[in-house]
Amino acid sequence: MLRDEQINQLADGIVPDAYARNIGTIGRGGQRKLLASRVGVIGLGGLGGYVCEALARLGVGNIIGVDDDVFDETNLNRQIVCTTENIGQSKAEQTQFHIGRVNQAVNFQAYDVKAEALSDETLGECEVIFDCLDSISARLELMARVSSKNVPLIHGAVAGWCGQVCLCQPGCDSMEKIYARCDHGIEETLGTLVPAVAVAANIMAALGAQLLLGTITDKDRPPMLFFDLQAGQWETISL
Amino acid sequence: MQVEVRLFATLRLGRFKKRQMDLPEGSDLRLVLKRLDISEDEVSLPLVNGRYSPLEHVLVDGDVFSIFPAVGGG
Repeated sequence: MLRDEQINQLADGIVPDAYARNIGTIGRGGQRKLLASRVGVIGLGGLGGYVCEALARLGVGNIIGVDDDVFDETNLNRQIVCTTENIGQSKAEQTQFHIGRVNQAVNFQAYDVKAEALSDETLGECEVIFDCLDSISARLELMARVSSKNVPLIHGAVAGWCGQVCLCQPGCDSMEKIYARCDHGIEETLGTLVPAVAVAANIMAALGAQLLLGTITDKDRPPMLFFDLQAGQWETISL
Repeated sequence: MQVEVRLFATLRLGRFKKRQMDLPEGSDLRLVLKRLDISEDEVSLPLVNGRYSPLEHVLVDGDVFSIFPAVGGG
């Protein structure tokens, strides 16, 4: 398999060209770690598409992508995998196809199911889970399940020009705090704009990659981030 | 006492971005929300001096109270 070949090449001091611009920052050992990693991306809409794109280009070797929806025209404004040519087609299958064109070494497993239908066993095999869902109740349910499997979760959410990202370690109550009083968000009024989606998703991917590389630890866990691209504000939040 | 209140995203609409409020001693976060006509279910993150705080948290002079709405889109 290409992924195994690349892992062996890196061990022998050979850098595949696809990762030439990664190595200066993450090193050959880091690239091997990423290629051997397994993550889950739950929700393959706006956030999930950009998260998968970044993970594939970083060379994260095993990605489980979960979404039971199909693309429609309202997705074109922000979902990177959605084009005028794949309207009506499965988000999971289309994301798998797209990622295959970005990096053939990535083993992208497409699950065309709702998040709740993904087995605990499959969730538990992941080293990091990305919460890219669009429903608050589904997000809280996912956090509870992921936490019970002792897997860290990276939460991202967007509305209009705003977004937020939070690293949730197993057992932490951050998600319950964030959504304690609210069962719907301001995106219902504002919609979601692609700059906020891309920013939030790429911060999520950066956090995830650093968790996989071991460069983020419990001691230096980053605070939650809230940004407003219209007001030019970046707020860090201690939960 | 004086407390600085900062509003984010849609909570600013028809209100303000940042304002000093004169409040009676012992005021909690709920009192500020009431004065600003913000319902509790609009508030995702109530922060006092950058730290998440429950709505019954009692403010003191010089505090900064930041209020964020819920964001949940994907």
